[in-house]
Amino acid sequence: MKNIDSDEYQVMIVDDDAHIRIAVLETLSEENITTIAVQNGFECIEKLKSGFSGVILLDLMMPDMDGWDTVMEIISNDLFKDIIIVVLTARSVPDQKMISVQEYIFDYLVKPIEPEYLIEKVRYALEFLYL
Amino acid sequence: MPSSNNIIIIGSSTGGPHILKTILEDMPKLCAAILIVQHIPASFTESLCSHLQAYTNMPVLIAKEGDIPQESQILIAPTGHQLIIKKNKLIDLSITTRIHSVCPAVDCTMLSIQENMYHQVMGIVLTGMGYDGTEGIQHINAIKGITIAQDPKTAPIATMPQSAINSGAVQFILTPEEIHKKILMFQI
Repeated sequence: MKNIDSDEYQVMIVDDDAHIRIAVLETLSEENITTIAVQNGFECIEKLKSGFSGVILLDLMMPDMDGWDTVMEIISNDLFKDIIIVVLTARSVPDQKMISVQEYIFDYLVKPIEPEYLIEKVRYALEFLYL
Repeated sequence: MPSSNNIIIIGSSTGGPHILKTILEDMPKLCAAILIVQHIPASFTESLCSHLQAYTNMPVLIAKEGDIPQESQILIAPTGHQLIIKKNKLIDLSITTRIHSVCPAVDCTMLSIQENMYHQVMGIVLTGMGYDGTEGIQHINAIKGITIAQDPKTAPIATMPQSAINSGAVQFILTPEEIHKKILMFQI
């Protein structure tokens, strides 16, 4: 069941780096893409349990619960519904454990994120999700 | 409808839907069938089908057990099944085990194509993690098919096409736009 707050957002940025969160929020808000920012995988899971659906921009390198842990938690809690996961990473070569969940990763964005590229990827993911 | 004499197998993973759209956009009718093996959750297989259908006049369908790939037809391997082409060109979806952590796997489909089964075979490995598609591309090269890898510089994730290239069995390293043009060799 979706709640009203979650219905307002199309994109969730999950990153422990405040600079990235702010940059993504500003870039997407200029495109009228409503975005919510959370700091870690735990908060991401909570938002999903509250009914968030849309595009998740998920940082891989986070303390406590990293991107892979978060994807595993999403799968094991049966929360992979009406969402698309786009991974944000500083590394262009994925590690072995990401390969094991590759079918759940719709796309990759390598940091530093170019605003134009971010907008293109997010718009495409939203188009795919809400076709 | 007769079975196709030519077959194109496209293997794709993370970042693939966008690349597939670029390759298939405005694709005219072909004297070849296209099989797409995309690593994607089951809940998105139909979305991928509808999405690609919006960009091409060729029918885009999810492959079913017993289908025979036909000319100007795009078939998508259903998630949770390995897509095998049997000797009689019938599609076999009975294998449901994962290979390289994925199901469907590009290698399974490519390796099922036997020499002289088709007049021409084209194998294409696009963006993705890992090395699925590498054995398949080697096989298609060995049976005198055409082998293509997406230029890693244009791939959101380069390891899958790079692995195919490193095998030495890739004949063409192309951008998505160039792959589109290459497929036009089958234009009716």
